[in-house]
Order: sequence, then C-alpha cells, then structure tokens
Amino acid sequence: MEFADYRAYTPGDDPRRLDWNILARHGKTFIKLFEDEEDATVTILLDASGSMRWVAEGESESLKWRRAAEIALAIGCVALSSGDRVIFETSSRARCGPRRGLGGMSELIRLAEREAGSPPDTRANLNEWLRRHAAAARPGLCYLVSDMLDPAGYLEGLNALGGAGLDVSVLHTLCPDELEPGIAGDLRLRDIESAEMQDVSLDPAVLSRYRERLAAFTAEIRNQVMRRGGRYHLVDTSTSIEQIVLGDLRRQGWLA
Amino acid sequence: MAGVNALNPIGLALALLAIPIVLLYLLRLRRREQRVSSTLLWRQTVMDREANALWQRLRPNILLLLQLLTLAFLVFALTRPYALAPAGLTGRAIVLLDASASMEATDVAPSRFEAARRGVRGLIDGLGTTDEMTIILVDGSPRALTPLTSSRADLYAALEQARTSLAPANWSAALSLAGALRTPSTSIVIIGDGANSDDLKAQADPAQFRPVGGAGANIAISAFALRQTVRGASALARVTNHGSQDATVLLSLRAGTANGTATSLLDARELQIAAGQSAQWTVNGIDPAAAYVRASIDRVAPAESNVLSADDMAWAVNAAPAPRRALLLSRGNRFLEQALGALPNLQVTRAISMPIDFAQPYDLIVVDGISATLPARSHALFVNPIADTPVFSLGAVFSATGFVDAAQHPTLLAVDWRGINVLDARRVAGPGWLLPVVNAQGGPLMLAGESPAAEGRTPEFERLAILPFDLRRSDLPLQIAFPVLIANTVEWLAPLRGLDVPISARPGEALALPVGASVVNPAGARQTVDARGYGATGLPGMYSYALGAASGLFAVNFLDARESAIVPDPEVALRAAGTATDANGLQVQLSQREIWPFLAALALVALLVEWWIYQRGMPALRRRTGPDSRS
Repeated sequence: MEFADYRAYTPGDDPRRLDWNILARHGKTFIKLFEDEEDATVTILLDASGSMRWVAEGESESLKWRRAAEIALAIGCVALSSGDRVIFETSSRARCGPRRGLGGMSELIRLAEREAGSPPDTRANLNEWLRRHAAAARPGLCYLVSDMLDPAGYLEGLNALGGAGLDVSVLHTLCPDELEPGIAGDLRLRDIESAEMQDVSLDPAVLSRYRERLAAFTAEIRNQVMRRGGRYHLVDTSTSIEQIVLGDLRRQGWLA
Repeated sequence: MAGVNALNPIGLALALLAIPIVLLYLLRLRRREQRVSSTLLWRQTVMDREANALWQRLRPNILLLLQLLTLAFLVFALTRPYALAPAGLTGRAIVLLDASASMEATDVAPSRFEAARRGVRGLIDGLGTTDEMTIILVDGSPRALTPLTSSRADLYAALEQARTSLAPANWSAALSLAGALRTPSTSIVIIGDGANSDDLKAQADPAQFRPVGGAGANIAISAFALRQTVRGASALARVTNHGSQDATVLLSLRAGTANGTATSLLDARELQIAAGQSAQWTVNGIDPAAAYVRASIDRVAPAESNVLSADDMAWAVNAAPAPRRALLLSRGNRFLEQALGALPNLQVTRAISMPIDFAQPYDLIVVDGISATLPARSHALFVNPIADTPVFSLGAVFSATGFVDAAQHPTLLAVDWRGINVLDARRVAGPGWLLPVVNAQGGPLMLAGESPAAEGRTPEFERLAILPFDLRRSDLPLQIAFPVLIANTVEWLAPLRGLDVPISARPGEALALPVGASVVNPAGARQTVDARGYGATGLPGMYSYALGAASGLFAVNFLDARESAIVPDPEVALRAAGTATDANGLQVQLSQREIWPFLAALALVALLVEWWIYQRGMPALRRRTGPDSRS
C-alpha cells in the first residue's frame, strides 16, 4: 500500500484512514488515500429500476436502458482489456465477476442481454442496493450508471460505497423526456416504477420550475460525488454511444 | 365621453354566478393520465405550489376564462350601464345656426362658426334613416338652407354653403320661421354663441341651446366719422375694448382716392384702453383731396384681446358736395326767394338782368317777370314770362283757370293742384317737346319739357319749365304745394351731381340707388342696380357707384357695438347647464346612452368563441399535451 493523496472525509469513511495530524493541527478532517499495489478492482453498477426502462413515445424499446447498458459494457470492456478485475452488477441482483481478461467480456454481454429481456425491478431501492453491495465490496473503482431517480434518495448508498473503499463515479443517465419534458395541460402523472400519481397543471411557469429543479438535482449529485473524490457525468441518452464513450468520457479522462 | 355609470347596479350581484361556474368546472375537471419515468422531480416541482393548487388548475383553461368573460359581459349588460354622450336628434329637428358677425370670433379654433358647423355636422351624422332635419341660417335675414329632409347629402351640402354675415342675427325672425316649420314632435336646436341674443332669451318654445365659444375678448372701432369744418375735414374715431383686461391698440388712418386703390397713411397712434372702456382720437386737417378715410386697428397687445377682426376697420367718405348754383332773375319775388333759399345745396344769386360775365355756368336759371336772353343749354324755370323766347311764344291772357288735369311729372310729385286758384294766365305756344303739365280750362297752367338732342344744333334749353302766370295773382305761394312744387322743379331741372345716395350704410342694408346705377363693391365686383335697389352690402368697405356723369362713394361699416361685444350672454349660457365641451370647443347637451346592447353582443361573441374552441377540442392544447396515456 502506497500513499497517494488526501481527500475530504465523508460519512461512511473508515475512521482508521483519518489523518490525525492534520486534524490536530488544522481541525479539518482528511483521509489518506493509498494506491493498491495489487490489480485494481473495477465495479460497474447498472441501475435496472423501472425508471431506467422508460420507453418514450415512438420508441419500440427503451433507449434509456439500452444506452445505460452500452455505457456499462463499454467501461467493463475497457477495464477487462486493461487487465483489471471487473465486477458487474445490476440493481435486480444479477451479478457477474469478478472476471479478468477479455474472456469475461462475453459473460458481461450475456448478462446485459438477459437483463434487457427481464421485467423491470419495480421494488428496487437505490440506497438498499448500494448498501448491500458495499457490505461485500472490494476497494477499488466503482462506476454507477443510474438516473438516480429514487424517492428514497441516494446519499446513504453513496456513503456506504465510500465507506467500503470504493471511489464512486456516477454516470447520470437521463432521457430527453426527463431533461426537456414535452407535456402540458392538466395531467395526472403516473410513475411507471412506483405507480404513484401526481396531479399537475402544466404551464410555462411550471415547466420552468421543473427545469430549475432538475438543474438543482443534477448539481447536488455532482457535488456529492465530487466531494467523495469521484467523477460525475450527465448522459443524455439520445446521444450516440460512440459520442459518449469515445468523445465525452475520453475527453474528460474517464477512459485512457 | 364622460364616465360610465349604471342604471341597475344591483345587477352586479349576478356576478356571484361565477362561483358555481368555477365549482362546476372543478368538479368536472378530469385530468388526463400521463405516464412518466418518475414523478420524483415533478413532486418536488409542484410541492411549493400546492397552496394555490386551485389556481394552478384553473389557470390554463381557456374555456373557463371564456365562460367567465361571457358571464362578466352579461352581468355588466344587466346593470344597464350608460355613458354620457352628446344628445342626438331623432324625429324632426330644426337647427338654428347662428351666422352673426360674432361667430367669426377665433376664441375657438378656427372660429366659432366652424365649431358650430362641426356641431351641426355631428347632429347630421347622428340622424337615423327616418329622421328629418332642416338648417336655418340665422343672420340679418334668416332663411332655411334646406327644406325638412332626411338626405344627409343635402344637409351636408347646404351646411358647406353656409357663411357668416356682418348683419346682426335676427333671432325673432328665425324663431318665427322655426315656429312655422314646427310640429309637436319637432325639436329645435340652437347653435350659437349666445351673444347679443335678447330675442333668444325671450323665446318661449322649448329648444336646446348649444353655446359655442368662450369669454372672447374683442376690441372694435365703435365709431368713425368725418366732419366738415371751416379748416377742412376732421376725423373722429372711437375704439372700444369689450374685453376684461386693459389693452394697447395701434390705430392708423389712411386716405384713399376715388378709385379706391391707392391709400396713404395720414396718422397713427397707440391708444391705451382700459377694460370695458373706449378711447377717442380726433385727427384734424384731413386732405380735402382724399375721397375717403380708412381707420384700422393694426396691432393689439395682448393679441388675445382681439378675437374678432371684422370690426377692426372702418371707412368714411370725405363728402363735401358742391352746391348747385341758381340765378334768380327777378325784380323781387319774396315767395320765390324764400322757396329757393330753403332748398339744401342750392346757392341762389339774384339779379335783374343776366350777368355779362360769369365764369361758371349756373345749374339753374329762374326768370321771374323779366325778359332775358339765356345762355344755351340752360336749365330754366320761367315764372310769368313777359316776352317770347326762341323756344316759345306768348299768346293771349286767359282767365278760365279752373283745374282740369295734371300729368304724371316729377315736378308734380306730392303736389295737389286742385285747391290752387290762379286769377289769369298767358297761353304759351312751344315746340312739341314742351308739354303741358297742368291743364286748366283756358290753357296750360304749367309746362315742362326736355329738349331732345339734335345734331348740329345747340339747344337753347336742356330742360325748361314754365309757370305762365304771376305768382302774386294766384294763391299758389300761400299753398303748401308751393315749396314742394319749387323743390321738385329745381330737382328736376338741376339734379344733384352725386345722386341722392347716403354716404354710409350698415352691412346688409339695402340702399335706394337709382335704377341703372352701376355699383362696384370693395372686392371689385360690379352690379347694376335694378328696381329693388342695391342690397349687396354684405362686405364692409368702400363702394363706388356711377350713373351717367354722376358718381360717388359710400361706405359700408360694421360699426355695431352689440355685435362687437362677443362675450356670450350669461343668461343664455345658463340654459346650457349640464353640458360638456367637445373637441371643437362646442358645448353640447349630454344624454344617457345605454351600452348594454354592445356588452350583450360581446357576450355572444365570447360564447361563440368558447363553443368553437370546445368543438375543435382545443387542438393547440392537445398538441402541446401529447397523446393520452397508453395505459
């Protein structure tokens, strides 16, 4: 284990990694980061909740889910080709790995295809899933591909992952219907995941407030992830996978 | 238009119907179901708006808005709102339009008359198809511009022809005219400035009075005259300030020539005139060569003190008529001397024989009982001729002097010969043109005639009259007919060179000018006088006339203190209480004009729009909303 860097302490971090000297001198909480000399473990968590399976008007399948799965597989493929150990898990408890080498690639693809054909996990709870995964997780890199749209929130799950020694990066996948809703009028909105109803009378003012709320929502996630030393990228699922992987993620240094 | 009021304000209570409409809407509001990937963000979005969720539901619904709009229009219509608007005319209407001089005042732009004309135009605009109107122009001689008609075109055309006059408005005649046209259902509207309208105040018939104009100030030449003195003519001008503030007036006098073109400044003076006061100015030593003098107000300070220009000029004829010269050849006849001496403009010289040398020919020669040789072309009256002349010869004396008849002759105008007794007279034999004027049983008692023009020969007499008897041997000199006969004879024999025309007249006044006289008005228009005299004196200024060799000038002046006082009479103005002033400065009677039909029409339109949108299913809204839930 070799010292690498410091980062700010967040709830859930192992108190044994606190730098007590800095706390004594400056009254600030930092934890020490170490580079594992062994091969890194890359964990890819793919949200398979109902909201991720959203089929927009005019679509025959869920483009949102397809794009999320493609991103997860692309990261897995890169990690496997780099010789890292890869763990692939969905919120519906489908799991693969740890695998090493390109031989694990086909297994990841089969799992993704199998998951695409299965019904959405309507009972999913993001925090619960992430906590459960953190309990048995190995320290390393963690990529969470999710829309983060869970009524119970996501903070506890992120804390649990951080506490397990995972450096969590989030690929926040949102579809155009979520980024720029094209609806108006007196509506009763039905959540396809929870079946909850919400009455709204949509006019330009309400839509404007929605956009403000969405911006605050993404900014909050970005802030929480970056405080934990991770990365954040908002994915518009209408963007092609080539643009996302070879363009956006490569440019931002997600992929070598 | 004044504010809007309501006749039935309690109708506003029906606005409460909006409550059940909104409640019914809320009850029947059915939201379309729409699937979304997650309601998480939507819930957070509307969370802080739940408090006014009711409005959030109601706001985008255009149908509800239209229904409420329809209700609002209906409720307002039921309150019977009205606006105060200029009262229109219905049925038959007689409009009396003041066209007196004061209507030319410019205290209302462009003038009171134009403002009044616009007011009449507004009344014409408001006429219904079956309504009838006539317009009576009220000036010195009021007249109906049109008969009672429903043709707006005729009324507009007649109105365009209307002009003001400098003659004072004759309201009593105008009201008589209106009364003749009036029926019980006829309304009379009087549009004028209410100035100088005592007759108007006295009229008893119900009529609307619509005053035009404000408290206009005016400065006028109220008097202007020339007086002949031993040192020449002197001019007297009086300027009156009819306004309520003091003013400074620059008054100038100019002399004009007989042809009326050239004028030269005689004098000018600034007069300080207190409000309501007059100032006089006398200028002596007027050039005797001046045919007339013109006084004019050239400048007034402050300018708004003088809003009527018609009375800013006056003219006076410098009339010094040359007296006629008469020669009385007599050994003494007191009757004749007195009768001739009493005649105006006649300078009588008595002699017993014809003067040898006289530079100026006499206009008239009276020969009384003397034998004399008169110059050629004489105008002569022979009384008791004693010798023959080249024209007539004397015959025997006759005493059968009983009156037989008298001819229609100017010399006998207002002369009754029947009571006149003559002791004896001589017979006279003359040429054919010398005709007996008065015949007695024994022969003519008076002869008169005008020598016809003959080529190559100078007549001895141009006009000749003969009384072939001795006045002292008759009672004629004692009769009232005698001075009349002498005056008539003198006028016939030697008429005034300038004709008997007054030198001053008022605008619109008809003058008894001789038939055939040619008159040129100040604008240069020439008119020949017919038997009705000359009445085209509407234009103030100098007029010239000519008839044969006789010519002269007369002035038409707008010197009328009553018309110059253009401030509306407060007693008349009181009748216009409850009026408003329109854009033309015209005060108008206001009436309540209900506007509920307009509101009811708006309600109908809103209802139709709501129905149309409902039928079309609000496609615009549907496009925005997207298809219903697929579930």
